[in-house]
Amino acid sequence: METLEKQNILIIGGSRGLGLGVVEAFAARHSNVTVVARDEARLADLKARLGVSAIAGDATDPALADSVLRQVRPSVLLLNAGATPAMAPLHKQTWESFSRNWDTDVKATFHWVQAALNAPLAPGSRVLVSSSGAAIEGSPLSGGYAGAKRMIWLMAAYANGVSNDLNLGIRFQALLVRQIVGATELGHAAAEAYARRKGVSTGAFLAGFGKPLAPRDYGEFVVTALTDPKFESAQAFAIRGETGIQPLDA
Amino acid sequence: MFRLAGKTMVVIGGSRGVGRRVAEYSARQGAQVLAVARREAALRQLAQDLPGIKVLALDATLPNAPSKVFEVLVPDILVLSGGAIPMAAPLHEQSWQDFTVNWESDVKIAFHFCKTALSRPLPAGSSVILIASSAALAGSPLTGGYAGAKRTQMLIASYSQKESDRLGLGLQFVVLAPGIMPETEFGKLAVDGYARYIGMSTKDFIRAMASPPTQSDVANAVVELAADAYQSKGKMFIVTEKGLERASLCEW
Repeated sequence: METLEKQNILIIGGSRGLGLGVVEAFAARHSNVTVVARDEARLADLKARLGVSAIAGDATDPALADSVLRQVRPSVLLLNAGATPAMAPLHKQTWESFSRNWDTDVKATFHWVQAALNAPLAPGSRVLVSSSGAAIEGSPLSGGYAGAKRMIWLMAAYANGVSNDLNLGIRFQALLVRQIVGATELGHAAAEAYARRKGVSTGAFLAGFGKPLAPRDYGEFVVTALTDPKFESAQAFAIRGETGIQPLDA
Repeated sequence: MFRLAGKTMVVIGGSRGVGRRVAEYSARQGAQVLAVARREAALRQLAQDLPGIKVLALDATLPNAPSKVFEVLVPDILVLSGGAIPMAAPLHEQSWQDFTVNWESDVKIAFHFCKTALSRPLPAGSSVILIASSAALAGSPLTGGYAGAKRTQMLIASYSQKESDRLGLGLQFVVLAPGIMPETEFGKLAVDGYARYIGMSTKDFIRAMASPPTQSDVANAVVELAADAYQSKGKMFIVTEKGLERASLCEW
């Protein structure tokens, strides 16, 4: 994609955290940004502050995915909706808390990916899904989070297979942040739990990852993934504050 | 020599496929085996075919299943082999219910039993052998959420081992990741699906598979690991027709 100006960008889960950083980065490039999220107050604030369109709804609802895709016709779809995992060791989790990210992150990704394939989006469209470094390293205090994020990474590969078979020309790519991000609610909760487990302060634990990743910087890396041709064909990207964005071999 | 003489073993999913073969081979090696499964008819058949094996009919995905099982027999070796057979269809043709069937079954069973093994806890020296799949490493585009579910089972074993070590419980969690076994009900379905998908005959597809394991290979592997679980604790093994192969642990 040569420019993001006037492109229709649809961001699912963009009212806070890393998703918000992406919304800001696209708004700064004068894209036509539409944000889907649950929290109406946050959406109203986004509309007023950044001039983006907003749709309030549950990202795991398949009917919402179908209707919004038909309405917005995005050339870029970023799937960022997800739950904050319950931080506790395995034997202190309930099945419901263990499954939280499967029931939210995986389910939402499943429905939107499916809607993108079945609509289908226009050839040349890009769909970015949010996996995580936990999909590689595991996350012993976050229930089923790492398994859910691995599934999301796999789903991007499966979807590329379908896109090739049906000649759709849609490219699915997975984003893996390979550090805990202290600035987001999810990252902060995780950092506190892992730091406590290691017997160090949250600050010291986060310092171990090197340069922190600010949500707005994350947004810039996503922009780079879409506009720099060298990132066009990779199936997954690793993102770190220290080293930026890099293609990742599965 | 009986390699499992004096050992007690519970096999979840013991009425069919690999689980049944594990129950059979382990009993032959001297283990006192309790086979657990949902379907009573299959269990009755098993008890008839292999006298000496005890059976228990229950739904292993229920939260109280582990305590019900351990009331009947506290195992030295707990083998988790139960799970659902996924639907074979590409991603865009699956419903969410199809996609999530292995999470709601295979992962749930692993979660409840490993959680109970840690919190009850099982006696020191006990081992839990989880039968996952090589799909967890390579992916499986035609079987919905299967590969992610199997990956999560591996993670559950890894987390459980860490927790047992931290709490000093002395438990051993081991993962087996067999490739597709063309002879099982699930294996047949997977092989047919993939062969059709790439336009090959099922026979040619199987011929092209690199050393697919049989159920016997996997059952033998379980006996081998069960007989010497301490050496294998916290590790993962791939099973091929050539036997056990240690898989890299840095990334799972």
